Amino acid sequence: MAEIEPITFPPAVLARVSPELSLQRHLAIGIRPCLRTFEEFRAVECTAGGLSRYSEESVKDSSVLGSSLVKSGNTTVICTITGGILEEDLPAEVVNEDAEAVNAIFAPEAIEEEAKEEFDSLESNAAVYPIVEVERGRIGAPTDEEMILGQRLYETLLHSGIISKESLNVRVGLRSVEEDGKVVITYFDDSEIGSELGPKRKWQYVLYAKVKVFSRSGPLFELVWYSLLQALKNTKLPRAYIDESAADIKIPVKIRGNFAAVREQYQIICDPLEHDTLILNEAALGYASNFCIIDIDEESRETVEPEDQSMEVDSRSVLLADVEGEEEEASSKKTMSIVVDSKGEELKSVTISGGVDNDQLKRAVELARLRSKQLL
Amino acid sequence: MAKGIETSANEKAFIIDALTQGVRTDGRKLDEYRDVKISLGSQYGSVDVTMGETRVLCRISSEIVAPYEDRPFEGLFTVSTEISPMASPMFEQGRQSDDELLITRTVEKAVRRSNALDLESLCIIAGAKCWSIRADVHLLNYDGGFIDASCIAVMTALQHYKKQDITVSGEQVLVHDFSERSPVGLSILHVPICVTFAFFNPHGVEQNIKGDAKEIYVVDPNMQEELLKHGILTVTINKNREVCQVSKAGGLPMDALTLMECSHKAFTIAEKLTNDIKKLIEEDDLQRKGSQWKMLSASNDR
Amino acid sequence: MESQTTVLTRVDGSADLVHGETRAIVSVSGPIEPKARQELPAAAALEVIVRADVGVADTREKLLENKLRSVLSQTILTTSYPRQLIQIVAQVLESGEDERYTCKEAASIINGSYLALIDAGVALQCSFAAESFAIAQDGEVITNPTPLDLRQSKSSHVVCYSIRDAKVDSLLFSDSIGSFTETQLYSVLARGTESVEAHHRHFRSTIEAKISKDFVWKLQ
Repeated sequence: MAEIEPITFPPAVLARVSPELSLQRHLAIGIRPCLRTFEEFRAVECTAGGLSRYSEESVKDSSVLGSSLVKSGNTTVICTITGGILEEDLPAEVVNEDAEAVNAIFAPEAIEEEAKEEFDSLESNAAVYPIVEVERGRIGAPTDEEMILGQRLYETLLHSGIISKESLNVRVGLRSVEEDGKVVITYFDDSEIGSELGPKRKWQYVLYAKVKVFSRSGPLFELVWYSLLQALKNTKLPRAYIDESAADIKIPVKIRGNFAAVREQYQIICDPLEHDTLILNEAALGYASNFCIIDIDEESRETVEPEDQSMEVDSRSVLLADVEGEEEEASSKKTMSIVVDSKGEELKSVTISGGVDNDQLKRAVELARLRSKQLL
Repeated sequence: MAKGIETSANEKAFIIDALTQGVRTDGRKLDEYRDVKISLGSQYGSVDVTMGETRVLCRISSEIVAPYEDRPFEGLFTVSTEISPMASPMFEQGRQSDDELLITRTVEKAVRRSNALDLESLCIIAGAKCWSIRADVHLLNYDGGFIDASCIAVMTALQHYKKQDITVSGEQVLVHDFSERSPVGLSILHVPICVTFAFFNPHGVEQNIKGDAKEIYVVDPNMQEELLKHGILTVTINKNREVCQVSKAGGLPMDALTLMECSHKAFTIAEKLTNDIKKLIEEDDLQRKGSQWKMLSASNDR
Repeated sequence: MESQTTVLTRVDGSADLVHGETRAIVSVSGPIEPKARQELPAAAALEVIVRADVGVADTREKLLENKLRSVLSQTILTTSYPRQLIQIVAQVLESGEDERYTCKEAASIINGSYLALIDAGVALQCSFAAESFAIAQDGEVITNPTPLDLRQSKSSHVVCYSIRDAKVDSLLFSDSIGSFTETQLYSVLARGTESVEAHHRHFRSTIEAKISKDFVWKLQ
């Protein structure tokens, strides 16, 4: 009768054959499959990426306004910020003096009430429109993960108040040709005169972020969020001016005998050299950390030989910081993702999935706080 | 539960045999339309339509946008009918089958192309601002007659919907809240109603091509009849006896005179439904007005 | 809160749920035959679809789907239905909140899914219920906020607990966004247990009504 020999696998093979078992055996001796300790984060390397048109001394011919390159473990994330200018739809009373009067006749009470009631905490917050792409060796429609990451970035940015709407206002200049044929571009920065000269129109920058992820190894939100913030930090907005010669055009339209004046068209041109730094609300800047909780099963604990007991693994469940690798990701049924502001005072976003108890949550928040401070 | 619904050969023979004797499995006469139950929601433009087991919900929403450049005097109107597996697991998420596409297109043609909604009345400032009206049709339960039910739902919702009043001031638009000024309804030019007929040939399709067999047609087929049908015809007609659309996409060839007959039947049904809808909307309007008057009198007492 | 089960006939289970300003209808079909690419050898595949009340589904609904899925994958006993598919469709009928917020819709579709799954007779690990919260500028925790509360809030939260023997057992899912302190988060989680238990009592009465209707032939 043949004797049953136990089969042994090299760690890498076991990890693929039975990720759960491999993880359990590792954790039982106090170390993670990626050889980090339980509460150890991966180091994050970050540079500006050098893709932005303002990244060097001279301005490059590129439409990228800000960029970042983040490396952590095997994963590389590149984030680029581009933008456009959109005209804002102003409330009538700002533009026309008679609007308020008209409104007052019809509903005098409503105006007062509105002023009292309508306070919108997100009103002054702005966001960027992110697209996340996780390289997977082929192209096609965005995967669910990419869409979810994009939406989470958008929501977290909008609700955290890192970018205020005001910082995206375009302070337009005016280009005019002097009598001697010289072209002058005037920017009315703080002077009060400017607001009277300038048009009663408002323009806003709209920012788009494109995030590319290479060699994904574990949950991505934290890295992608970090790269987005880093890119926003070095984002510069070009100054824009109105071409005087192109302003105030009315295009008459004639259809079926009806005339209508299409509204004035202004030509907004971005200055090739002049630029402003995008102002972020520094206090609200927060970095994200993720955690998972793994319950170590009895069997794995029993297999530990006394000499392997390098670290005291006394509790039945362990908290792992910065989830990495297939084994950890596949086995983690309890996860937490926490965004803490840089001062460590306020939380910006917390997502918990699975039966996490309060002590574990407390510890995770504490670690996330340290991490956020460290990354600043 | 099976994903698709299949009818056995026995069942099929039974249903067709019953039809030749003028009996339908749900007890209706051949030319009997199902009872249409319409309930209006608390919000303007929210309508729930039930026809037998079929249930369709319609929501109207509006916003101010810029019109299309080539149509500066017209507002925008979109109808969205996406079918989810909620209606029946036989519909797949994210992939439109030919049947689904036909339903969507027919509803769109019936309502949008027939100019039921006056697009020019949606214009605010020519070339700059107009209303965009959107009808979201949610198909909740499928038992045949999606086209008919969706059309009724959209048309009722459009008549029920009221948008905020506006004041144009220069190039800007002031939107008045419901509490400031009473909302205004949409301008509906006519009410197209879709009536679907299913054709059966008890002796098989070949017999019909030879021209000597008599086909049977039923009004408002339910799901089982829709699955067994040999041909289908949708007539969209309004109260003014104007045919807005006739859709007969393939299937059993039919007698040209039958089309006339069907149109007549469709008219009677459309007329009744249009009147029913009108009455319902009026009643709802009165009720809303009533509660408004009460509010006013309360403030007078003080 | 008002709820009703078996509102649709073509699916195995369905529930219509009104909670404050929000209304959602959820349907469950399953176990049914999956598409080849969905099939899992040892467990049931979950197909979660969330549809908005107005407009086409976009990334906002995808994120809601993800939240709902994270609750359902913990509660449905998927191992009882290997190589099968359980399809959950949640249709929001009245969102009852600004499109910048999702907490009220998230709570309603989670609660609706619970009733629909019970109605469909799908095996569950445990009962569950969810509630939405907002924290006002002055730090007050508001349960099931109105759209106005949300607009004026500092942060919004959704909390979902599993329930055993009519008592809260453990946290299944929690999602918070905005600006809030750690203490506020704990107080939201604590407040969650109370309202979730209350919801569960309500669900029990809904299920009781369903069973007495289903077994009317036996009771009389």
